[in-house]
Amino acid sequence: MFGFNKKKNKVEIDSRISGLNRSLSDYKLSNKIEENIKMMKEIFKDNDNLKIRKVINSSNPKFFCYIAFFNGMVDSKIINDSIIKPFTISNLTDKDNNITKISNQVIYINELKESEDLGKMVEGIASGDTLMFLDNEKKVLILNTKGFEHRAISEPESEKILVGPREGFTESLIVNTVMIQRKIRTNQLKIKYMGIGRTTNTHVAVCYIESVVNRDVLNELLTRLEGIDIDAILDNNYIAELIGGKGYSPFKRMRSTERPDAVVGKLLEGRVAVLIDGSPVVVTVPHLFIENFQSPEDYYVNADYASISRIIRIIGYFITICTPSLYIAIEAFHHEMIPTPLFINIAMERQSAPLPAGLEMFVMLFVFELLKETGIRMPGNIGDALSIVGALVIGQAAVEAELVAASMIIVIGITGIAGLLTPKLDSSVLLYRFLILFFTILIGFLGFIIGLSILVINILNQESFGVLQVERIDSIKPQDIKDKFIRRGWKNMINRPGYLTNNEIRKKENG
Amino acid sequence: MKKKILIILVIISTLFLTGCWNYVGIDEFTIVAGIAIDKKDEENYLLTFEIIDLSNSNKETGVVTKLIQSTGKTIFDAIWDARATASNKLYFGDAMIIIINNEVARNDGISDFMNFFIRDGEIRETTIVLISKEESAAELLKTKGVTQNIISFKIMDIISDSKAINLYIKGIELYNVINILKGQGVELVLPVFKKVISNENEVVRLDGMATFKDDKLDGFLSFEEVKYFLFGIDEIGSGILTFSTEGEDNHNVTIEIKKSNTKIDYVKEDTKIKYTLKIEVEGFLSEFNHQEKLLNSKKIEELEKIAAKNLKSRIEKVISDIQKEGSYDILRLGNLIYRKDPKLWNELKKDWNNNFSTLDIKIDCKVDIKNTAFFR
Amino acid sequence: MNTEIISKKLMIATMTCFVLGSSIVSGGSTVLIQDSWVSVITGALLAIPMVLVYARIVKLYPKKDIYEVFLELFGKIGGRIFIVMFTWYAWHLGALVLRDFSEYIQSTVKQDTPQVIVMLSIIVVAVYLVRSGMRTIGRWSIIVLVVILLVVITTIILGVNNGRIENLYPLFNHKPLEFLSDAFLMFSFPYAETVLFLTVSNSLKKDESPYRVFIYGIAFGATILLFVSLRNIVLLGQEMVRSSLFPSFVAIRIIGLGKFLTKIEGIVMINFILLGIAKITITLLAATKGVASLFNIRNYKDFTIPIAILMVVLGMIVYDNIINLVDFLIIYPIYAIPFQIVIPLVVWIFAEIKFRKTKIKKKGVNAVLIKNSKVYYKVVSDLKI
Repeated sequence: MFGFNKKKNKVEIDSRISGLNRSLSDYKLSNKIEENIKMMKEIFKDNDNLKIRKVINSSNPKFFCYIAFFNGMVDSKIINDSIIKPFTISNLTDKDNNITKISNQVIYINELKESEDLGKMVEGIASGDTLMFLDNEKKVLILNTKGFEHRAISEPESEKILVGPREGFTESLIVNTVMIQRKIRTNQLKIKYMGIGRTTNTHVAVCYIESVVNRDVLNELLTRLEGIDIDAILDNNYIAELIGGKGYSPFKRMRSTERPDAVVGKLLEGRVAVLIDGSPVVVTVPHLFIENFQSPEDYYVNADYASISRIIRIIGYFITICTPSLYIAIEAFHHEMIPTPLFINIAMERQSAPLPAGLEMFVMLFVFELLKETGIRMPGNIGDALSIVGALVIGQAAVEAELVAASMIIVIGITGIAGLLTPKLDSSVLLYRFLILFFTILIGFLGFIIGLSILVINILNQESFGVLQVERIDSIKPQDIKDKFIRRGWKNMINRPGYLTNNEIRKKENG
Repeated sequence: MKKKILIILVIISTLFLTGCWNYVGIDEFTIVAGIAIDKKDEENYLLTFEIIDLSNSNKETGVVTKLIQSTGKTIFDAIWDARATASNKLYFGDAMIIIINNEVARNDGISDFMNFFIRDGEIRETTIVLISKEESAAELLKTKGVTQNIISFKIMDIISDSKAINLYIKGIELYNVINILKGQGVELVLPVFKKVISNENEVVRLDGMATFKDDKLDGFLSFEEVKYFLFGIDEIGSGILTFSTEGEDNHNVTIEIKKSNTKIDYVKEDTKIKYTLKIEVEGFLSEFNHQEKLLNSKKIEELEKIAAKNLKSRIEKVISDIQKEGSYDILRLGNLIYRKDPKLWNELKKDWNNNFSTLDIKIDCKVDIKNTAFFR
Repeated sequence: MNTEIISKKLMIATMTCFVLGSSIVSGGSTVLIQDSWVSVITGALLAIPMVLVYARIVKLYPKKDIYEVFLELFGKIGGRIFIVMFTWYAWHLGALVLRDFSEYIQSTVKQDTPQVIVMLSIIVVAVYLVRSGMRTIGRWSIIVLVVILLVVITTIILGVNNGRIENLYPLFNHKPLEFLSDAFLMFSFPYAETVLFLTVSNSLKKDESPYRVFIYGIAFGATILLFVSLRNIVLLGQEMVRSSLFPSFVAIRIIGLGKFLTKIEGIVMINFILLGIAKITITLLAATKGVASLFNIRNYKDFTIPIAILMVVLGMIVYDNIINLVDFLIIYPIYAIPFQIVIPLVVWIFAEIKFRKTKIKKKGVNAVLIKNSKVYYKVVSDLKI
């Protein structure tokens, strides 16, 4: 029954939207301006944002042109002052009616192109350019008048730091690339644009510094980008999934960040950055595992403090994965592992808990995830109240009602807090926490070790664009450690981390 | 896809198998703190366990303990029998002491028990083995602790190696008992406890040590004797030396032993073995009521000499007593020969116990007073 | 980056973990009781000549593993027979170690869990490692080695308090024959088991010296084992060492730090399990590669899971109880002789002969190009003899 109706509807819709499916190759530019305009109207049929205006030269009324642009995407001032005004008031004769004269001497635009390519035209006008049609001219002028509204530069919400620059990327590709270029004022900085996505044709920019970049990675990245065949790219994650590499991995293969200073730092180490129009998140490639624990703030504070912070983050990562399982392992299987007085206290307390510890742990972890998710989605005020209610009141009540043991709450609390240290690794944390917990419940401490081994092996196996995520284990040089696990002062870091780049080695000339 | 769902289902279902195999929640078993071994009659052993009663323990009352008794033909039999009384499985991982009735030790020997305990994986190898001088070993567990509710832990504290408790007798752990029982040229000596009344309460009290021949109890050494005996085997932890000075100022002097070192050496002359024990003691002067003259180096030296002489004579007496009565090598002299010269030991092994009483043992003592506390 | 080629350091680390594999639980052989530590050294010394033979084979055929060498030297049928024998050895050894470990775990902590489960969970990690390739195995081994060293050093430091040096005496109180037989026991188990590394010899980078790899691997393994053995003897005393089935474990139970840190044997369990996994991984790898070369298939990774399950099955049926295991250990050196000594020697001899032949041939051909045609005929006719 449903199938029947569905088919009928499909036919109706098809005929109605058949106009949409006509590709650009059906259209052709002609010499006659009227025909061109008619064609434009038809290409952008049903898009009421398109505005077409006829501009007539005041001294020579036979001289006119049409400009087409999208309302809202253009800077009206530029159109008025630099296109309409000069065209209207300048002294033009008949013989000036050619495109070269117009583009060179009449209108004032910093960036213009002549084109016969409909594809480029559509792309241009959809980005905020203005198209200028002239009579008896097949070529069309594409004028840069981009001026769409975008968010002002503000601090990224997810990567707040205490001290340091507070700029964050916005959704405009131009603005983002500018932010990077401002920090690297050299000709070595390369920015290449690409358009990806069949329908959206999203602008994607690839940035790198020529002298230090890892060429293999760059080539691999470009190859993969060119191979993308999808309808739309809306966000960096689309790209991350498409070019990340084969297989599923709980670990990210590309580092995403909203901070320009972070990106610049990575470019200087030889990485490649991918910026996507419409997303404030910039992706850097390749991604090393240790980057999950690094933050640009490390460079804005004291070196030793930064080192300790990093080490705490790494320990925190393992704490959040291992603590629930360790608790279960000790409590349920290996009572010998804790000193006797502690053991007796925990035993006394668990007398009151009705559920077996394993089940309790699963339930509590699940509840914690619920709370966390709710806290993220709720608007500010409700979120605060909810966390108080959830955490304090319910937790306290649960303990007093003897539904859960107090030590369990503490364990969950530690797990949760440690998990917030490395938000970027959330997916792996969740997966492995439950995986190791499962093994532990099954066979105790042995299971814990097996689960942990699986985690470590998985980390070891991770690759990002041909580069291993966990680098040289067999030959660790001090140079590698100095900026990875800990941060030594700038005076001590003379060379670039040699792992990623084969090119320029020295960071500083002296020393 | 279907396979993945199946796997996930299997994984989730293990959540509910929370009773699977060795999963034993903390609240599902009974913690045993100490074990006492008696004999009920000719055939059966009577075991007493001090268990920690978790259901009655809470923050106000502290930890509460109970006693459980069970009988059986062998030790393991008796442990199984305990399941009838205790609602949960007994957990021995925290058992700190094993008390054996002295009669049982004398008649049956302890090597069966030791073998069982060391074979069992749950009981720790560091459990301390003791002898009870009372009628039954269980008597000791029925006493009340002064500072500690759990009697076994209390006994453990008294006998433990920690510096906080400065008694000089150290408990012997299970694995060492095994080593000594099967060792060459050593005999076992175990600490002995008895019950006394103090403040209308019954409390336990350390009361010297018991000597063994092979695995059977042989005799007792009193508290005082033990002190000097321990000098002989270099196991004195700390302790005090009291003696009185001669002459006009006939005072009691007490020296607190801080460190003691015994070097044993032997010399083989013809068919006789001559042993020399060199004992060096470092101590603090604790009690000395001096006259008008304050202490000076000469006085200290005098005291040291008197102390050494005193010590030497007492040790000599104890050792000669041991040789006469016991005739068993609790001084581990044979072991010394075994370690240094196994061939010689092989020759002497057979008659060692008989010859023990005739061994020539010479003692040299030296006392160093390092400190006189707060006073001159 | 190829997941199979690894550097010398990683290979050495893997070999060290392998050597320590099941021996760390007992600290080597305990037959000689207080002199057990001597066997660690003498066994290693005895193993060195044999190990040099292994290295020589690797040197002669740098890019091939031993299965390919079998096929090349002994032809399709003969080579296959050797492959079967070698694969059987690897498979059997893996099952033995697996069973050994699950017995250990069952005795010490898990009385009720069926051994199948324990074996299966250990094999899961081994399968994951094998499928990840030699490179991951090497890197994992280094991490494991660091952990092992930390734990062993910690236990030794903590054990200083409880240990008695006199437990080592009387020194050398055994007949020379006993020393020799125990050295031979150590030779077969674990040192000469590194013969299995011939199956991964194609993983070594071309210009790395296999001699270094084997010698260092055995040396590091022996050193750590020596410390473990000494620690056990010093802590446990004679009778305990003699009759304990798992001396290292018992030794750890005894040591502690103050009143608080008295029960650290759980942490030390990590040591044993990780090393057990390392050893089983290599045996699994060897067996899988063997089966794959039997059917001339390059990609051995697909065989991993079936072989792993078969290993578990074999592990279940191979003994009745743990005393069987201990008894088998006595005849194991004899049983292993064909695999550890005979086959490698045979391969070596054949390989050397072949190598010499090709060298002479090459020399002869080179001479041709320089000298005139008369000499060419002479040299060639010499070769034909």
